[in-house]
Amino acid sequence: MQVDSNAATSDPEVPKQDMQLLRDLLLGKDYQSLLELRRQLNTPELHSEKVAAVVSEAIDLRARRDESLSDVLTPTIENALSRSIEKDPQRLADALYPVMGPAIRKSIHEVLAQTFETFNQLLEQSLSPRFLGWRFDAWRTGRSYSEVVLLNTLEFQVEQVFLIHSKTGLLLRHAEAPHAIVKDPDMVSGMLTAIQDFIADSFAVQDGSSLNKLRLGELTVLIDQGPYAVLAAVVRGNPPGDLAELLNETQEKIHQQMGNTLLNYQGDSEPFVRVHPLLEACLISQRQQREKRKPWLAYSVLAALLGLSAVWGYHYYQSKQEALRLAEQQQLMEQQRQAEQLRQQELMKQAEQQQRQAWQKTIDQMTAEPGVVVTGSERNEAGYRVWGLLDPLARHPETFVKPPLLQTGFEGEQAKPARLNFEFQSYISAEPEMVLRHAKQVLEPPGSVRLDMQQGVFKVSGSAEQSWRDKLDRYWMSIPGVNKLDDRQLQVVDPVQGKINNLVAKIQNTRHLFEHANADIDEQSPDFKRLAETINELVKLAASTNKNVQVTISGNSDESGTSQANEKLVSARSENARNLLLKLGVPGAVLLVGESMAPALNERSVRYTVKLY
Amino acid sequence: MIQKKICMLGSFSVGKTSLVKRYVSSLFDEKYHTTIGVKIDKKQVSVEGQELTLMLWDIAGEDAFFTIRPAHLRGMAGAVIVIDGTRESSFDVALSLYQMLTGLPDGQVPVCFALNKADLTDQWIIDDEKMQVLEKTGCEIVETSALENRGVDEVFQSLAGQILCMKQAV
Repeated sequence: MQVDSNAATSDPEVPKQDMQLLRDLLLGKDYQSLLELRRQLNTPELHSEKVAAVVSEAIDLRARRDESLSDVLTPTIENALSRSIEKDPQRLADALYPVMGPAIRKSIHEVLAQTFETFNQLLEQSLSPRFLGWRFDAWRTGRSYSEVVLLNTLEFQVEQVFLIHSKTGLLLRHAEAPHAIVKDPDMVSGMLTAIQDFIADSFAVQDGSSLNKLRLGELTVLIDQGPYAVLAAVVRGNPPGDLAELLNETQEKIHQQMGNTLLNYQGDSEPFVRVHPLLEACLISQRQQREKRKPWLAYSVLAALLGLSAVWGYHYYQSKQEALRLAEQQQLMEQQRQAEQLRQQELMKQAEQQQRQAWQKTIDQMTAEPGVVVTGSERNEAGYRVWGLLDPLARHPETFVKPPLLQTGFEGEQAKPARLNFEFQSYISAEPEMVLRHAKQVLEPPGSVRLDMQQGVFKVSGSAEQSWRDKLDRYWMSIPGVNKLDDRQLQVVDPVQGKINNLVAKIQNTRHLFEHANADIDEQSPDFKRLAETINELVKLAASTNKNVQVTISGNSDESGTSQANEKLVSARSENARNLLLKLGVPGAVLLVGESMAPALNERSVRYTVKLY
Repeated sequence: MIQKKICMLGSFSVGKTSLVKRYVSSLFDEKYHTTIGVKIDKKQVSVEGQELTLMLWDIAGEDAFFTIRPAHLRGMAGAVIVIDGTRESSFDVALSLYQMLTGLPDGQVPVCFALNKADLTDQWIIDDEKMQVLEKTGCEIVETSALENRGVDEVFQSLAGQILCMKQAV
């Protein structure tokens, strides 16, 4: 049955209700549904509502099926992001903040690790024979060193990707990696196709089978055969298994996007610019997974540096210590030197003091000497200059002064006797002793006369001949220092008696000295000879006056030793003297060995006492 | 840039290779001829201001021992059939090649006959009869001489022109 709706609607006579009735009869409830559906389609709000209910599921479904959704949405999302950033960059920054922080930290860590790794590699590169070999290769092949390193350290690198039209073998698009060696890709793609054909023909492979891998040395050509195009990747190194899969996926995408263009390809490759990013995505590479090992070389260099600096530090410390020690030693030496200097100065001072004292002693000794007056002295290089007054009859200091030793004050230097330079002027001393000496010089008294000065009085005692008495009277006034004469004790005797007195006095004034604890007498001594002559002369003179002479020899000893020993010594000395005098011609009757003189003399001697009877 | 695949066909030693040698960019060695039977060169031409890249498939000469692989002819946009003007057999081979081309599933492609070795006129065997046979095919016929540098550019220019015309017609 056919409903002529035009006739129905054009006829105004037919009531609307009838038409409705007729529709209901014919279409039933479906008609209402159709109307509702149309209303929904025609009303955008309702349509959007319906789509909104399923849009997520639809996107999910499509995303699972292929990646076209990403391709389609990418420009939109990029635009949206750009606009958002233009509008309010802070919002995006805030949103990204939780991601960026860890990412930046990770990046810094990676960079540091990489730097250390690079340092290690650099060390290795500059040292290992392998890298030296690579340098040689670079020089030999004329490539840059980095290229050679890249080639050798790559496990694989997709160097070129060809998209070739299957039927014509013409190149649709070509992508190449940096540093890849590329020869005319147009011709290469043609030849590749020709080779494929050659293989297929030569070995009569089954339909649909195709060459999918060529290998030459380290190069591999992976070929993915699509319905209209061939995707060929030239790989240096060992291509991983999933590379073929990647090529296959890329091929699918290309066919998906460019299916029609491929089908109707007439030699214009321009439209295939679109798929270039897909080809570039295939230019993957993987560097040799270097064994994750500790960078021992870097560590050892670091350790060596540390070691060197430690050694240097140790030496520096040692040298510092040594310098300190030397400085201390020098300081000590300086102190010692100063102390030594002080000691030397002290010694010199002491020496000087001693010198002064010794000199003072010498001066005192000179001053104590009668007839010597020291008015001044000074020190000179060689010794001393002394000046003053000297009585002509006084002993010259030269004869009794022992020159003091000149101390230099330096250790080990021997002291030398000082040279004494005397400058005396003559004077007449009024000292009693000097007065007596002058008196003796003027008067020449015989031995029996004794001269003395007591309290300014010149005393003359003993016996003398008349002639000498006259001389005394005549000259005593001219004796310097004599103002008054006492001659009451002087006896005037005849000449013989005077001679006898003189001889007695001479004998009694004689004494002979001995060595300590010794009683030996030098038999050649002139003293004994003279004594013997004097005694004999006295004996002769005494005989002329009818008198006899007796000479008593008395020995003496010092107080050392026992009295017993001394007694023996005294008698031995007396005996020896007597024996010698006997030998020299003195009559034995004259000589008598007597007791020690009283009071006992403390001297090692023999003395003589004369008696006339 | 438009690219087109052109096949160079002809009997052995008709001078296909020497014909193109001086006019093309070559990457591959002659030995490919004897190994895989084809060598590919490239020739840039300009027709009425339009640049065209011709990929020249120099296919090894057909003889008793070497037959052309049909796969090599697939997708070609034109062909140059080279005839050695001093050798009878090359003429026959050229004709049979032309026949083969017309029977290809891809349909008729522009063909240009190159009568090579045109400098050797004393040995020339292409007479009027033969010329008529060739002309009947409706293809362009160009006398060429690699030695005298004659007609080679014309061959490619003519072929490129025909290809472009066909494209526009399509």
